[in-house]
Amino acid sequence: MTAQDDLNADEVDVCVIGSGAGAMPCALTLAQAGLSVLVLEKGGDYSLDETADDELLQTIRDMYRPSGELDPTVLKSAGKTLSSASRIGQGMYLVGGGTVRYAAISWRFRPEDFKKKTVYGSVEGADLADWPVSYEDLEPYYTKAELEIGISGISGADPTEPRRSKDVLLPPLRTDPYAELIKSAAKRLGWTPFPIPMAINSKPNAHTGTLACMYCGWCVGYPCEHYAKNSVDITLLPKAERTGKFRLLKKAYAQKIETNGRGLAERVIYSLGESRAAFSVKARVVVLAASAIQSARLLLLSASGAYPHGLANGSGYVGKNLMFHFEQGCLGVFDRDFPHDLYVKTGIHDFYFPRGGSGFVNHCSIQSGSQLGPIHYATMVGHRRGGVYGGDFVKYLRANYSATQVMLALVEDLPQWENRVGLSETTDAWGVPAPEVHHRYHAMDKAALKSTLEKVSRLQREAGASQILSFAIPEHVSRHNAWHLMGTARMSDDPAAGVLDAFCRAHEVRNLFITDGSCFPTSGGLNPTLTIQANSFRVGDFIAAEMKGGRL
Amino acid sequence: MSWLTRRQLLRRGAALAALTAGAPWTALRDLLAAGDAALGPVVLPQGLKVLSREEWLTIAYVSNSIFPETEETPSAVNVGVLQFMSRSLEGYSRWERGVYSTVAQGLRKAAGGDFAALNEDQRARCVLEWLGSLDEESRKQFQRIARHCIEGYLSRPSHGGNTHGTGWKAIRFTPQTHGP
Repeated sequence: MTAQDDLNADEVDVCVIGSGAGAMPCALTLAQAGLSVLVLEKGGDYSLDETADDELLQTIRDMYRPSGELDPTVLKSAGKTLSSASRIGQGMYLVGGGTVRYAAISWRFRPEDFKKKTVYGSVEGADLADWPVSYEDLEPYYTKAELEIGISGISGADPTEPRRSKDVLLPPLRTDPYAELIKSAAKRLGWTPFPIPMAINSKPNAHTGTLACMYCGWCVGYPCEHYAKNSVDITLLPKAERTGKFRLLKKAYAQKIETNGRGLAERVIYSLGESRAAFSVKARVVVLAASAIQSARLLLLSASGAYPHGLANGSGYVGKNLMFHFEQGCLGVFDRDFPHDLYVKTGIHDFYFPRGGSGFVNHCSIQSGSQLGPIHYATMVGHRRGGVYGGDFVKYLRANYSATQVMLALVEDLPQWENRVGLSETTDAWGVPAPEVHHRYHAMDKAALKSTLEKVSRLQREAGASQILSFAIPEHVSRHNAWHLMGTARMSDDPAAGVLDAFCRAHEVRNLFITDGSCFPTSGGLNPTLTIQANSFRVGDFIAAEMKGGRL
Repeated sequence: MSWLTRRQLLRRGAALAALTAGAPWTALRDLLAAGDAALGPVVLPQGLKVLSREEWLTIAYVSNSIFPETEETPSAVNVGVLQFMSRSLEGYSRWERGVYSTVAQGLRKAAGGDFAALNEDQRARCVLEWLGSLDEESRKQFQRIARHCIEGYLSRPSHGGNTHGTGWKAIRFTPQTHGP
């Protein structure tokens, strides 16, 4: 028997596609329930050598994303091709997915985030919907995620934060001079600053076995060399491996989900490494968690006679309502230097819910950060100077780099039917059709961002910034850099109005589940990772119960 | 080519401000001033690959017009930006070799011959005149080189530039790698 025969004879209870935030909570839950689990991860391991805090490799060359030439995404907006080889939506091809390099901001969505249509009604040009689950449904799993992942913060400090049934948070991360300036300024403005809940350990985490933060500053966009940022590969994956029921296949690129004569998912076809040779694994249940663009792409690639428009796409909702968030930074230049930091600290949610007459229905978050990396900073300054450099450019960098601190506005991206993922005529290096992404921001998204940036600017000035550099990131760049991928396979109780039911099970394929951000009907105004993780734990419990009960 | 007087250059600079999206006139004037100082003789480091010597000389002057030597900061060439670019063109940025060649050819054309063979004043004026003549695509190519120049100045020294962290020191950046 050849190695290929061995792989093709593979048969498991559950095949999970992806190893990131949406995949690992579910995979862990199922393995702990005694079910055999195989995870297919398109990426490989990452290194914690000197590359870990290398700005060029990590955040400019995106060393863990394949190149746009090898693995392109075609990006379009308003009928215009913005990029034929974008890297958007590739997330991080790594064991642990995007959580390895994420900012680690770990919010609970607000109850209103789950009831967008009920709270705000219809909005022209947007496809608002309620989630078929409520905050109360998800609350126990938020608690579980906070414990299993490890979150630092102060329960209740955020005035918009919903009820917690149990406080399992570690103490907040330490403050610093910029955070203190922002806190004082916010209070003078009558606002309520609070430490942002972070998946970074303020002290050694006995539950996960991960270590305390060393405050080296290399957080946002970097893997943590101190094992203090709680990515799922160092928190959940080791536990899954200890069950003896869990296997991880790296560099495994899932390209199709095949169904049997009863229309059930039966096999996942994948390639290994750079080879185009196809392998397959047979599974009783398939869990798809490859992130919203790639998950939708895989469903579309899995079209067959029984599913001519794509697997589980009888409603036509597969790929539709793609959402990012709309994020922009506002740099404040102060009359003092600050220590080098790249982590996020203080939140302001006094304007999270739009007020009457604002002209938009988006939820909006203000998040203070710290410094940009030096290459990003110099590039931004050069851009602002109209691409003109020289002695004054260098003098400006020298005078202001350490005195400049960034604050972010993060705005909800309203779901729109025309914002979608399809299949392109362009193919990747494996000959597989690339995803084609269409996206444009809604007028309300833009109004909400403008309004939030004005408040950010006001706060920076109140904190003492003598100069404000509100760097207007072009829309396509905001999309290009998007890490928050949501929509494309929304949950709905109505099979005609969504792809998944309330337990993220495909309406048409009862042994197919999707547990990444694809299932979100709306995006909230908050970083989505903790919600993805909590939901993945919830769906894991459901699948385990169904399989143990013989219903799957 | 016919050389412009300084007065003509300043007038040309005003036209450039309109041509270069968002470029403030004062910045262009600064560039001119910096260019006068930046485009002095350069000594090419050993071991540069991919491009010809003439191309490297031209790119050296372009790089030094982006990061000129000031009282407190070293020039791009002295920080090792060319070594960074050479290594990048052999690897990650190998498909961008054409960008460098196109920019070098553009300056050669503007100079009416070997750009590097011009004297300092001529080089300064040539760069400015060339920048003012660029179409959108050419401006993008120049920006690519500017981007690489920034990367070579400020990335980790292991990539070939930012020798001994002198680029970081120039902007007063002190990276922490091991805690408080």
